[in-house]
Amino acid sequence: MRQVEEQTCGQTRLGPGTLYGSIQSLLEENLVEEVDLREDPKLGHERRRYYRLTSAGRKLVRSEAERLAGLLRVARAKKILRGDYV
Amino acid sequence: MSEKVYAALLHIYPARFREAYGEDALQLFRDRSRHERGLFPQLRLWLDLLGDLVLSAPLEHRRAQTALIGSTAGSAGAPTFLVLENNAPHLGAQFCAGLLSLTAFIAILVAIGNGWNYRFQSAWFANLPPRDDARLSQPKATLLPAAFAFAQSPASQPQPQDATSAIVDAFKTHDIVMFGEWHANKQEYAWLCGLVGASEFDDRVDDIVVEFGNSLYQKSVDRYIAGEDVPIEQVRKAWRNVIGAVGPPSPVYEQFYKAVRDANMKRRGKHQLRILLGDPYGDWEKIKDAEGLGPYLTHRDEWYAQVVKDEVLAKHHRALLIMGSGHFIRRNGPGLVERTIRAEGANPYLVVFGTNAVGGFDDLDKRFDAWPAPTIISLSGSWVGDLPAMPVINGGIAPATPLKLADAADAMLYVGPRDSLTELRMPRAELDGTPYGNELNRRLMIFPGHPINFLYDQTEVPQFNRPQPPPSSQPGPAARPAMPPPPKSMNDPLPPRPPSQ
Repeated sequence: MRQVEEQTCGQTRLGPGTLYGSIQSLLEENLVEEVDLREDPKLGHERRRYYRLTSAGRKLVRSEAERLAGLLRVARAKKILRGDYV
Repeated sequence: MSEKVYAALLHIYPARFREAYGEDALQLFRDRSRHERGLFPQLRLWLDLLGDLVLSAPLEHRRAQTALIGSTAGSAGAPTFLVLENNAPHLGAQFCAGLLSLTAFIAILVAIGNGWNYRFQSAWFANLPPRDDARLSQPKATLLPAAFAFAQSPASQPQPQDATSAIVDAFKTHDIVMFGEWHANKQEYAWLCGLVGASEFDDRVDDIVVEFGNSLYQKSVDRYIAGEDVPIEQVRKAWRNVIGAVGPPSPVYEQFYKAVRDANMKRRGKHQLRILLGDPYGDWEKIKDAEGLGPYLTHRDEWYAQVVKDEVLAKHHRALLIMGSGHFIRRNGPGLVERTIRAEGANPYLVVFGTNAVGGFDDLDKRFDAWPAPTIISLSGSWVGDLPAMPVINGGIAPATPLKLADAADAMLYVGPRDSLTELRMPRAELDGTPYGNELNRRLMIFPGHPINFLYDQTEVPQFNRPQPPPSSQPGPAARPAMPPPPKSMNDPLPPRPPSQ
């Protein structure tokens, strides 16, 4: 959750319900899969659940990123975005 | 407290969501609570959580609803049932169900008023011979009372559950499970060794806090349990130098440590168990007299509770606490360990070792014979809970006390009939004339202040022996020496803890 908050400069703050609801959707769509339960010593030996992208999920992420990149190219060409966005 | 509030709020989500992610949501809550301390961060956290709840709970309910509709959509034209599992039915459905139940109830009342009353009142309640009644057929007359009787019976009958499954289940609702053990029992420890080898247990539990381990040696035990190559002579000090037991420890304890080590080694890369040593850190190599032993000997429960507070509760871990049942059973309320951890917000579940001795030594209850062993029986609401606690817990070797079993604990472990239980003892060869045997003799002269024979030829003996009549008032040659006066230092606080070895 903290990572999402940092990546979005604090604009998106996920709560547990939203986070696990999203994970459930991704699982149902077979875009992520759960891997072994294990602990992370850095996090006080508590159990963590780990998920990874499936090949379908990776494809979808790539195509979505490409779509956004295309959109960004258009925005740049039209000089809509300036400064940090470019 | 705040965690409990959030756990309660999670009930707003559908049951299936809670089962799948409830624990993880709580974990995330703990993580954020830990990192966002102070008034404003906590306020922001709760605002986030409430906002999240308002947004995501309706979505999850809609998803649950969609899943239900989806499950029936594949069988077009065919009659189907809507599977609700743990989801609460709609208000409309509840209203219809209530209306139907009321109709059925009124129909039964009308039927009773039309002639069934005699059977209910005289044959069932008054236990009189039934009157010949042409309007009432025999099957109907017997079926309904039997159905009522059957519906009532589970409340008073115990429900024995496989002991390992029962402990795993207890950890689904409690972070702390306390087990009051009977020292040195072979069958009990065979089950405990199996329990720590069960993956469902290992996935869920972080720590096992033991009485039979001197906390001076935590570092060695940590390395041993983690599968490192530690000389066994060094690790053994943990259970051979216990403050609370001056005689030789039973081999069951070494077996238990090894079982946990084996379980961890089989699960390399996965969640690992840790044994936490709950015996005070007195160093027998430095204790020369009763005054030196006093502060440690008299703070055993306090230190054990401190270990649980520091190493389990503060880290939000789940733990199995093992200690002699005398330390854990609730006499006039919880004992010191349970009181201490409850004050910290824990809600432990207490299981105690028990037998089928329900009265004097010869009063064995045949009803236990039908139970598979090892089994755990919940004590609330059954005849087992109504049994007197003491003969059941101590194998009938001491007289009964008014305390009921259900008041002493939440559940009982039953590993077999009392007379089938055995105690494992350290072999004579490890003690007779050995440095360790000599050291134990030295310790016995410090406390209780006189020698005690601990050399036995048999390594496995009946666990519970018939109590002997009290010795006569005439002191004979075999009479036990009187106990020395207690050390003056017994009320002194624990000295500072030395570095772990």
